[in-house]
Amino acid sequence: MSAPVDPISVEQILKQILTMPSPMHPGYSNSMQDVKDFLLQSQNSLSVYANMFAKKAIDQDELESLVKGLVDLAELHHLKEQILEAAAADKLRAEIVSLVATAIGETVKIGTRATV
Amino acid sequence: VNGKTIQLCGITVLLIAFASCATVSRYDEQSYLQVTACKAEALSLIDKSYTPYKEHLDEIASVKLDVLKAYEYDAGRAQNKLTMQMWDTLLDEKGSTFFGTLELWRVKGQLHPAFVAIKRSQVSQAFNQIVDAESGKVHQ
Repeated sequence: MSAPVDPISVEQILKQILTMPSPMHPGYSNSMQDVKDFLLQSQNSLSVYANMFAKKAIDQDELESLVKGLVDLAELHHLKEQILEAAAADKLRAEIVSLVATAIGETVKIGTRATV
Repeated sequence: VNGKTIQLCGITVLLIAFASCATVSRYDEQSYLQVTACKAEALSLIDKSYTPYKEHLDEIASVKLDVLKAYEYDAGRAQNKLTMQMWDTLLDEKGSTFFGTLELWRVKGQLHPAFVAIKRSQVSQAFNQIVDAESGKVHQ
């Protein structure tokens, strides 16, 4: 069986995740701070996993899977935020265009009536 | 109809064309229903992963097929690149989300109950990200 993991190892895992070079994850570049915040929020989870591993409730492969799972969740969270931002921008643009187009339509009506 | 009216109509057409250039796909009810159904099936399967993998081969194949159908449906939608990146993470067998967990289950034969409980929560949250992203898209 593997040796128990102490809390320092959890800190090291987190530090490693946070210092991953951004070129490996180009999508992170714009909101790296969000990802860091998300991972820092996961610190408690990492402590729980390390504790479970120390008690042999999970094995090395499972510990690794849980830690990687947190990183996957951070990536999914980031992608979701990108989609929601893009959707909000599309909606705003459509509303502005609709407003301007309606105003132009009204202007044309008034202009046509005035010339009749 | 004077020149100014024609000019305004031209601007309106350009505005409408501009508005139709969405950067992300619109909400799709079928996609939403498929991913929520897949989530339920996936979690039901993960719940069983503390038992031998070999006892669930048919169910695993069936759930994987349903998830791949949902993936292919989304792959056929325009402006859906970001959602597909989410699916790719979820279905990466070398990753640690859904298909990655199934692969770990296959390799190890069965998983520890403590791991299954936490992994279930992670897989659930992963599907929720896709569900939330879909429901947050512009509705028709």
